[in-house]
Amino acid sequence: MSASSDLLVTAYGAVTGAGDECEFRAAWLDGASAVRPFEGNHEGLPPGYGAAVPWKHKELRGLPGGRGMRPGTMTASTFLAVGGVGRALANAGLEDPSSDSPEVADRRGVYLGAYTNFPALKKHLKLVHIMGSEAAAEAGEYQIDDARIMDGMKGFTGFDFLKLMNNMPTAHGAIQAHGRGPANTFLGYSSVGLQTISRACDGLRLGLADQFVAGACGPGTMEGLALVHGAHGLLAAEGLEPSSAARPLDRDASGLVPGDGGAALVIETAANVAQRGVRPIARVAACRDLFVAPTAPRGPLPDSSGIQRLLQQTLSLAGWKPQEVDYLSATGLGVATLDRLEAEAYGAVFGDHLGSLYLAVHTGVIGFTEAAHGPIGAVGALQAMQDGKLPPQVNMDELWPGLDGLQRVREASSGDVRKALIVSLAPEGTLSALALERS
Amino acid sequence: MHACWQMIDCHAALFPGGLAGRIRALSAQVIIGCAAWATSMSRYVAGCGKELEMVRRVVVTGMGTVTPHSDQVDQLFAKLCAGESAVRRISLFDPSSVPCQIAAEVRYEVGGPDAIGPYDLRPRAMRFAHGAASRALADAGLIAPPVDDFVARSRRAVQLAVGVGSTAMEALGPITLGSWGLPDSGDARDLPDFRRAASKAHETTALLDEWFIDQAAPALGMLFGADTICTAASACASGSHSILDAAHQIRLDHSDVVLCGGVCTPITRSMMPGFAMLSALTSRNDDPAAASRPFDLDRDGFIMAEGASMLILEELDHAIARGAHIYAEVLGVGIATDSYRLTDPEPTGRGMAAAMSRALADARLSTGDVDYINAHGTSTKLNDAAETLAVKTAFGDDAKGLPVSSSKSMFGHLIHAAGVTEAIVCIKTIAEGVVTPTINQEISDPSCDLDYVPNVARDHKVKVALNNSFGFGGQNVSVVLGEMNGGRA
Repeated sequence: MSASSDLLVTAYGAVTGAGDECEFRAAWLDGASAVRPFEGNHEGLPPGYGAAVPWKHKELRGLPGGRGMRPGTMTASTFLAVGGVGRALANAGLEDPSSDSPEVADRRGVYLGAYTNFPALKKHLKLVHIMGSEAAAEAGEYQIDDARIMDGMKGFTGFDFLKLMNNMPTAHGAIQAHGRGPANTFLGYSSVGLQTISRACDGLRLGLADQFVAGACGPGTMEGLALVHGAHGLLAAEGLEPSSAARPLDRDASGLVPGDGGAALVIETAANVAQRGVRPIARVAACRDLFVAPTAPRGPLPDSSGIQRLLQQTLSLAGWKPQEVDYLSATGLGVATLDRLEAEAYGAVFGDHLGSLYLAVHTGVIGFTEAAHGPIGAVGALQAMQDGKLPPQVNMDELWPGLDGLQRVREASSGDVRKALIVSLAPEGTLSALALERS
Repeated sequence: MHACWQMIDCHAALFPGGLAGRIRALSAQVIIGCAAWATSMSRYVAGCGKELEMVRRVVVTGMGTVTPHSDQVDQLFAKLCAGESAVRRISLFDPSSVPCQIAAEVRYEVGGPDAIGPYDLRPRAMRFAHGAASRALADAGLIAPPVDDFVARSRRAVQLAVGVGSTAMEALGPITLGSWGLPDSGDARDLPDFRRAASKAHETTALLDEWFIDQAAPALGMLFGADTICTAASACASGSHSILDAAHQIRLDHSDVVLCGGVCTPITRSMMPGFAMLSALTSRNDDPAAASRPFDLDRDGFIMAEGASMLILEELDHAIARGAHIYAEVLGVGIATDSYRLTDPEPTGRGMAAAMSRALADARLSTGDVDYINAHGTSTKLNDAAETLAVKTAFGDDAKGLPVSSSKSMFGHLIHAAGVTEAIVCIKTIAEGVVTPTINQEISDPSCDLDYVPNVARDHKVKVALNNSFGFGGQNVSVVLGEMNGGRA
């Protein structure tokens, strides 16, 4: 929620259903969806497909700060978070953060966003199932038998509960990054990833740190979240061809396709960048987040006015006119009630400029990655600034009104991306945006 | 005009430490000569001596609480001064089979509506959060809804810390029954059946929503008419973290008024044995009132507690303009991370000491200016020893004779709500001139050798209080609170 002139992004990293940030880029440029039929631990989980992260624990140990990490003490949220942090540290040239001096560590912050720290649902359901009274169950009812609590606990250790604490992504991430400055885990809906980056920028402006590793994790394929989305009717239909099921801003979309993701940016003060002698990728031009009360807890929003206000205020904070935006990273949840409003807002704010700017939506490639959605959108924008390429708009055919004049990109093409606006919207009413300008 | 332009004179001699001397409020001035300053001061002195920065002061104009002792701030403080423990045998379920059978519960009805907008306020955590928030708003003269005319919507925010949901995972029991049959062997091999049933079951939605406890901030956002909401978790430091984040939002001119606080309802069938497995909880089931004994040699773990506490933080000029009662000023906030281990504090208290030092530097105060510390003081072996070391590291000789007490000796550990509840204790301490005791001090621990205000409250003038909150995972936050000219700026 701020405008800033001296905060610079120097590195980024991500883990996605398509692989790390490099593999994600390659897949997107090829227009290749990473959405696959669920198998293994995901079997039976709605909608039957998604973009799960293929990473293994051993890959985590190969990342900076990962040598001493114990993946067995992590939930999927934490695993994805430290994966994103590790990739960002590697790309920032911080191969061994623990060797940094105390003075450097004291000035390094770690902020990560998450929806919540998801449990291994099966284990916990087993606990509550065992707690149930057999006598009540005979009558078709569920009633807890308190005498059976410890029977259910037999399969647990203390770490099963410790790792559930919502601050664990950042607690692990701070150890990994050797950050002794500010550390916090921001919780919320999918927009919280960009809100977390915004808070990190606030921390830099306040002088709390010289360098932040900031991002988010989103285990979209975790069963707890998939069940919530399924029960709310937000998931894509079952039985679809997986590679074409994620259809951002497309009127034929049947719902969101779950995807896993973790991503982080390294953001630093200009003075710190100069001291380290590194080359920045982009300047943080503005951050903004808003809350618009939805009509129901899981949405939808009442109308598009809140999204329009978010866009206008972010542009204003950045000092940009709408027609100056080269790259617009949209949310594209694939849920009609939000996509329709998002398209309407873009039409209202950008008008004819939609024919010139490039609209990027990565959900068509890696599904909806929850809190990581915004940071991954930022990674895509930074990659476009660096490689000058515009990936194809995957599975975007029949767009919602408001995007009628949109420049369509069917194949990867060249583009000069200087100013990028990344938008992450949650149907629950929290809306965030980040403006980045190429350095 | 919301902004308060102030001249910041960086010369150390002009900052003897008292509030009156720490900042000189002038309009549009320039900074004069500058000495070296603590790192966290850089925002004020960047460009040392050349840069004018707008400093927005943050004050507390409302307090609300739902704690085991009371839902009235005055009653809570009176009971703490009397050394009254709120720890009892657990009544929320039959704890006979679990290792720790005692806790500090909210044993009274918390009134309020069943819903606000689309949000269900019946779950325990939601009811507590709403109860504390509505009391804080009323206390601040910001009655809602509809929210008053004093604060523009775009200048309001909610900053919340949330902990475990009301009934947590136990609430999912009915769904397991539908797909798994009798709870005999606990065989969960048919998880796909559960998934298929649950993904279409409406009740799954509400039960899982309650587990995720993600609706407290939006509900309070609607209650307050906030333009932004934010939820964060740093374990046991979360409540103080919410104060830190809220103060920063005001200082950065993002907001004029922030409803901040924490809520936690961890006394559940799964979390009680879970924390016991971490060796974090006491085993003194036979003597609840004596079980929480921070800094005592015989301490053996903390007492789980539930509740919610909220503060209204407000920009000083804004509060004055609307004639608000000012309870205290948030003079400084400090944050540091151990980057050490997930379960144990760094044994020398390095991160804890850094948080305190940064908070004092942020407040432009010296250690000698602090009259009282409300300790994190959990009653665990490791925390209390490390915190004692940290206080001595941060305060040096000024630690001697400095009253340091733990409210957790009486109301246990409210986890995400602890920091704000204890900030309220600090504010009342400043107002009343009475330091609340650390009860159950019987056997001195050589590793804990500060003045813990043992067992009996003490009359003591407190102008500046420091509140510590340290979380699992090594996240440390300290908040410095100070009196505000008798309540009027």
